[in-house]
Formats: sequence, C-alpha cells, structure tokens
Amino acid sequence: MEQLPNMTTFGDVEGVQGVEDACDYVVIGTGAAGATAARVLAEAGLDVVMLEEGSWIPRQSLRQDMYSSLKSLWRDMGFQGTESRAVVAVLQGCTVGGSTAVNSAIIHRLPEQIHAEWERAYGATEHIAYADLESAWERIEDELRIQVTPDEVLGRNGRLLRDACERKGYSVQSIVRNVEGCKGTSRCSQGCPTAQRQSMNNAYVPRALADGARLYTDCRAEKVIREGGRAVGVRGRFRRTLTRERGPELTVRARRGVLVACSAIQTPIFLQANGIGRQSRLVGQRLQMHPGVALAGIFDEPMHCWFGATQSVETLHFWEDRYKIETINLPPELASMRLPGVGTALMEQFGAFKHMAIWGVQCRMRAHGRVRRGALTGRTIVKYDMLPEDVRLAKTALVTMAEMMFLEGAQQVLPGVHGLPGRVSDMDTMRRIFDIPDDPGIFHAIGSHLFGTAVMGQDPRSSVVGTDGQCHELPGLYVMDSSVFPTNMGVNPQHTICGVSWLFAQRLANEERATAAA
Amino acid sequence: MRRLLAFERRWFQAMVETILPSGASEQFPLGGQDVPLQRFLADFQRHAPLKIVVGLRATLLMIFMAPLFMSGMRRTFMALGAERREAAILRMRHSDVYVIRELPVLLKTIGCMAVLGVPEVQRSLGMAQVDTCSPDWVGESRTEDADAGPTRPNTITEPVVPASAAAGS
Repeated sequence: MEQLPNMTTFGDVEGVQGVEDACDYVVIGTGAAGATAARVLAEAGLDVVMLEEGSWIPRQSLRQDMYSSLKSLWRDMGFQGTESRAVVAVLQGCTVGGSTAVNSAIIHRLPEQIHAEWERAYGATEHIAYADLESAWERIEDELRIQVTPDEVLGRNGRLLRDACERKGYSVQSIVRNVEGCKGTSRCSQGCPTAQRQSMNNAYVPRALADGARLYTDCRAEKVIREGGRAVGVRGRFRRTLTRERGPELTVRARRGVLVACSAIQTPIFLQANGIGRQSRLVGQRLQMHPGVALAGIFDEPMHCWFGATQSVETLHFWEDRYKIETINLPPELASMRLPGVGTALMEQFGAFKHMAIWGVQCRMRAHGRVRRGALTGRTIVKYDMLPEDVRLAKTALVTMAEMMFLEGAQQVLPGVHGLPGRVSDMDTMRRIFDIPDDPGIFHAIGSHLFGTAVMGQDPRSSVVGTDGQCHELPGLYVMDSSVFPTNMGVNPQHTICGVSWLFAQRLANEERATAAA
Repeated sequence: MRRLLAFERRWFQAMVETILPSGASEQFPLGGQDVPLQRFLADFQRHAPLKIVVGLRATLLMIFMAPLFMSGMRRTFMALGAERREAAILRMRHSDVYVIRELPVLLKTIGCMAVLGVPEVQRSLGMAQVDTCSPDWVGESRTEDADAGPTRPNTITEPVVPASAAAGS
C-alpha cells in the first residue's frame, strides 16, 4: 500500500509506552488550514510536526460505496448533526487532508464585499489585506492546479443547469476546482479514486513532508502544554477512529508555537477543553454555516448522474440574495434519499434513478449557533436553529430551482419538503411551499461550511484571537482555520481558509527570519 | 448499549425489507433480501458512533410500537402483514411531529447504505462503472485488518462515459 514518508500511524506505535517529539511548530489538523500552514512553514526551513486525528487512506483502498467511505473518511461516519429543533447534518472529513479529501474541490476567492465587512464591522483584516490574500491565492492556484471544470466532464446534470440559466438570463459558470485531469467519476465524496483532486492529502501534506515535516496520524490532540504563560507543546493520544482502540500518548514540544487548525467545530472544543476563552466567552459561540438543501428532478432523457465532476456548474446570480445554486451528483445511497415513499412505491422509482438530476443550494443564513463540549462526557454538542427568514430563503431557492428544472423539461421535481407532495408536477403546487410554516424541520438540510467559533479581532473582549490568529489569552497558540472568520461568506470557503492560513504562517516564518537575521 | 439483541436484529431485518422490498418492482427487483443485512448490521453497530447506535435502537422500538397507536392497526409492527407494515411506516413518515417522521428516515438512510452500496445492485440501477470488489462487510468473515479500514486494493479504471453524458457541450 502507498505510504507517505515521515508519517507515523497507529500501527507504528502499537505496544510503545509513549512517543515524544520536538519541533518549531506543531500543527493540529491536516485540512485546508493546517496543511497550508505546514507547507509554508516547512518550506521556510522550520521544523514542523503535524497531528491528524483521522487515518491515512491510500487511494487504492478507496471504495465507491458510501458506507465504506463514511467509515474511513468522514467524522462520526457522516452522522454528526446539530442538536436542535431540526437536525442539520454537519459533514466533515476526518482523515489526512480533512474535509478537502471529501469535498467537491470548489474554489472561490473571498468576495471583496465580505472582506470589507470583516474590516468595517470587526476590524479583523489587519494581517489579511486583500492584496496580500490575492498574492497568496495566486501561489495556491498555481500549486493546486486550479482550473475551470472542462466541458468533457460537466456531465448531463451540469449542462442542464447551464442551459437553464442561459435560458433565464442568469449568470452561470463551470466551477473552478483544484482538480487537474478530472476523470468524471463523480466520486469526490468517496475520496478521489484517481488522485486528480489536489486535496491536502495529495498536495500540501506530501509537500510539507518532503520539506522535512513529520506527520502523526490516528492521533487526537488533547492538551496544550503551557510554560511561563505560553503554549509550548501538545499532548495527544493515538486512537483508531473506527474502533476507538487506544494507543500510547504523544507529547510534542514546540519551540515556537502551537497552531490549531481542526475546523470550526473541533477547534472550539479543543480550546474549551483547555480552559481557553473565559475572557471573551466567545469560544464556540457565533457558529455560522451555509446550510444547503437539494432538489431532484425527473427527466425523460437519462441524466447519468454517476458521470461527470461531482459538482460541475454553478450560478452566482443570486449571491446578493444570499444563495448559490450548483449541481451535485450524489451516489445512489444518498440520491435515493430524495425519492419519496417506502416499499413498493419506492422500489418502482429506482427505475427512474438514471433520469434523475440533482441541484443543491447553499444559503448564507443569518442564524448563529454554538458549539460546546459536554461537561460530563466531553462529547461535541452543536446547536443551530435556522431563523424563520432563513427558512424562507431556502424555500425561495427551492422554488427558483424548480422553475428552472420545469423550464428544462422536468416531468416532476422531488422537493423533499414536509407539507408538499413527494412529487410535484407544476409550479402552482411548488409555490404552495410558501403556505407552509417557516419551520426548519420541513426539510433536510446539510451544513458543510462552518465559521466563527473562535473569531478574530483586536479587542480581547470581543474576539478570541488577534488579527494574526494568536490567542489573546495564551501567547504561542494560534488558530488558523475558519473558526476565526467573523461571518459566513456565501461561497465555498476552502480557498479563503488556505489564503488566510498562508498569510498567518508566512508572518510567523518572516518573524523567524527577522529574528535569525538580528 | 452497542450490541443489538436478537429480537432487535430481527426487527431491523423486517423493517429494512419493508422499506426496500425485494421483487417489488420489475425494473428494479433487488432489495433488502438480496444483501446480507445482518452482516451489515454487525459491522454498523461495531463502528457507528454510540449515539447513532442508541438512536437506531430507539427507532426500532418506536417503529415496533407505533402501529399499536394507529387507528385500524392496533398491533405491533411484527404482527402486521407486509402491506400494513408499509402503511405503518408511511403514516409515521407523514406525521406532523418532527421526531416521529424522522425515525423512518434514519432507517431508510441506513438501509440504503446497505442495499445500494453493493456493486451488483449499483449495476442494476444502470450505473456503468462500479467497484470490482464488494464492501468489506459483505465478505464471509472479518479479517484481522478489517477494523483498520478498507484494506483490499480496488481496481480503478477509467469511467465509462454514457453517450448522452459525454455529448458535445
């Protein structure tokens, strides 16, 4: 099986009493933020150790069936969800590469309006000037081979959305992705089987390792080691994610700093477990998302949703209205959830599976949730309730998509909304969605972009970390991921996370150079 | 808490076979009876987060009991015939109470993972390209490494491009 150099897995430390290491910077998490930071620091000649809770899954072991993928690549087997009036599935990767190993590789730069809002309302952009972000993005776009999805792999689903937008006069584009030479297997969620996606497990983690970094997988960071009021290292524990089998303790001493990049869910949990955030009381608060809902349409012609880029076409026409429509090719296990009914009626619909097109919408909702660590169990508790206006936004987006699908010749659409028929054949019926109460429980939403749970700012009373990512309460501890973003942004966040992490890490590397020169 | 009892395993089998029955459709005859559901369940209860296993057990109990409170049924789920089992689940699915209508969804999700993840089933859905080997849980016996994640190498080939999907843009 394919292995990475400088990598230590659970299997390598079985039977060992304890593992110790020392470095300049220890990075917790190997997703977009952690891997980017490790790549920048390792290239600058700094000694870097990466910790990853999930496992390294070689691409030869990836499977097409969703259940196997959920077991090996996804946090809580994809069953992580909010505990609120209606469950919102919170999907996150838990493997080397984090969520970049299972997402659809969609690349967007942070909209300038959002950057301006972060500055105006939060004073949060001192170290992430837009021009600097653009320079970082140019490097990243080159290194991750970012390009427009080629026409050959748009798939029928993608071409359908493109045609519908053109007919309606909406702006539309093939999605820009960090994929080169996509084979159109529609298997992004199961881990790219051909490794064409330049997710962090294929790009920045190997690059950092080649520059001398070391990686410990199957190891969950637990405690920050403090000395003299500074963070000087991390203690963690090896543990197989699948069987929960415990291994030895890992202690990493970090001479320069500890970088936390575990996502907007796991980062606040780690901070809370270490008693950080008492000053601002903001750790885990202000959780924001882009909850998404989907609409399936049944067409006369086959859609073959198992061919093409998983997500190939999008329209930003409604961005100002706070939603974005995109195509999504779901594996049959998930697509079948769109089919209404059970039993004989359900099975008869499987014959229509190849005629099904699915579009999704991600909404820039206004609701704020929170993340906290259970006092007794230590488990992760996520609370998030959509506001009535958020529910109305999702309803509007569903109606917009239905209108476009009918325009393109859909026989029926499957809205999956409680209170509407399972199959809807006309727009009059679809518009009855507005007569249904604005209750988040009427549809199944998925929240995959997460922000704001350790927000950055200049004032320690209103922010958790400074504008350079350094924790106000504990010098030497830096938060690098989307937890620090003051708001959600209306577009897929991976590129912004990489850009911000790049600038934070570059600043640390520059400080190091300045110290060495002095 | 993690290990389902024998009667719960029977309920699971009966409920998934109700949601995804075999031989119900001429176009798509494969269903719950055509895959080793008990092997899937054993794998699921071993690996799923504890709260989900607990949620599954609660779901099984609720669906088992629900027909007792439904007019025209007044029996447990297992005492009903196939058609009325289907009707009972459908009535739960249409309930105005969020928790009740979501219970069958959890079971449908888990059932679909089992039934629709098998290459033979995917092929019968019309998918042109499927895995060359079945998921680990389908196998006769667990290997030593089964818990370390998928270990058998999979053959990855170029996707077969349906003519309509690849048509000029």
